[in-house]
Amino acid sequence: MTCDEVKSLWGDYLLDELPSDQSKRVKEHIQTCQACRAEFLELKETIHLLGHWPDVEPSQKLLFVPALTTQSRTIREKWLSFWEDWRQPIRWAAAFGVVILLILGLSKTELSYKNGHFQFAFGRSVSERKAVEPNWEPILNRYQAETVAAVSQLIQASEMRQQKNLLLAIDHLNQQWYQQRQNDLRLIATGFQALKAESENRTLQTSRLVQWLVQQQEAFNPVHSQKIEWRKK
Amino acid sequence: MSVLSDRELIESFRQGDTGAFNLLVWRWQKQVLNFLVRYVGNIPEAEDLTQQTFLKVFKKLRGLKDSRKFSPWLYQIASNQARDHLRHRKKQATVSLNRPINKNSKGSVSFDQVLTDSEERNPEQVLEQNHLQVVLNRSLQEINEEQRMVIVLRFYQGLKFQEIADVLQIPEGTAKTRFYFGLKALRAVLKRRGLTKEVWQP
Repeated sequence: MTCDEVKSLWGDYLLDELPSDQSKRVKEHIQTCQACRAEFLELKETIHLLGHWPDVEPSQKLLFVPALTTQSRTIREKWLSFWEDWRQPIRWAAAFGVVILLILGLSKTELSYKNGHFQFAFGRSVSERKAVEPNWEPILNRYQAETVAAVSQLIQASEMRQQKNLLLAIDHLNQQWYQQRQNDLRLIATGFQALKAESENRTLQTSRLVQWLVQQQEAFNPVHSQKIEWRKK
Repeated sequence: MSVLSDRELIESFRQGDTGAFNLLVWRWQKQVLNFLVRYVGNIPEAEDLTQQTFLKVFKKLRGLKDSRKFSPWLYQIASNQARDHLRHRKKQATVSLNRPINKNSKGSVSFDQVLTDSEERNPEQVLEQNHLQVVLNRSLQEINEEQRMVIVLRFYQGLKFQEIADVLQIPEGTAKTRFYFGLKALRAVLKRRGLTKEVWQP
C-alpha cells in the first residue's frame, strides 16, 4: 500500500471504522513508513482531544411547540399539495394543448362533424369559408320562435304549479291553525275546571276548619259559651 | 409496542398528526443542536438555528420525496441554515480598531467570552475540563468552515463519509479530503496553543 492510498483511508482508520482487511494493510504500512506513522500519531492525538468536548443537552426553551398547527390540513394546504404532486404532468398537458391549438390556428384549420365523421380542412381563408356557408337566417328564425314559445309555455306551467302549491300551503296552514286553536280552547277549559274544583275544595276545607275552631272554643271556654247562652236567654 | 421509525412518524405527520412531528423533534433536537454548537461556536446562536431548522423542516416535510432519507435531509437543512448564518455574521461583523474584538459581540455569551473571563479570573484553573472545551471550540472555529463541517459531521455526529457526501452534495472523496486536511489544520492550531495529549492526561 502506498502513502497516498493510506491517506485516502485515514478518516475511517483513525476512527477504527475500517474493514479489518484494509485496516490490517494500513497497519502494516504504518509500521514500515516513518512519515505516515508520525502523521498517524499526531492525528490520533487530535481525535483523542476532540473527544473531550461532550454533547450539550437541549435547554427547555428548545422544545418545539408549533402554534396553531393542531388542526388538520387546511383546504389551501390540500390544494397546494395536489398541485405539488400533479404539477409536472399538468404542465406537460397544458403545454401540449397550447402547441396543438397554435398549429391549428396557424394553419387556419376548419373542423367539422358530419354523419359520424370528423372533417379537417387546412389553409382556407375566412372569406372562402363564408362563401361556402348556407343561408342560415330563416332556419335560425324558426328555431328562435319555437324556442321562445317553448320557454313561455314552461314559464306558464311553472307559474301555475307555484300558484297551486301556494294555495295548498295556505289551506294546510289554515287547518293547522284551527286545530291549534281547538287544542288551546280545550286546554283553557280543563284549566278552568281544575281551578273551580280546587277553589271549591279550599272553601270546604276552610268552613270545616272554622267549624272545628268553634268547637274547640266551646270546649275550652264553657263560661264564655255559657255567657253567650245566657245572653241568648 | 415497537418504536416507531422516522418514516412512520413522517407518514402520520403527513396525515395531520402534529404529535408525530413533536416526537421527531424530540428525537433529533439534541443531534441538531450539538452539530450547530460545534459548527457555529456558541450555544445561543446554535439554539436559534436549531429552532429555525425545525421550523423549516415543519414547513417542508410534506414535500420530502423519500421519507427514508430524513436524517441526511435534516442535516442538509441545518447545515444550510448554519452556513447562511455564518455568511450573514461575517457581513455584519465590524472590526473596531480601538476596542477588543471579543467585547464587540451582541449580548450573547460566546465561548470566547467564557474563555477570556476564565482566563482573567482563574489563571490556575487552566487545566479544567471546561476550559479544554473552550480551547477546542476556539481552535475548531479557526479552521476552514468546510473542513470544520466535515469534521463535526464525521466525528461528533457519526455520519459515514458517504452520508456526508449526500448531505453536503459533494463527492465522497472530497469529504474524505476535507476531513484529512481539517484534522491537520486543527492539529497545527492546537499545537500552537500548546495543547498535546500529555497536557491533558494525568
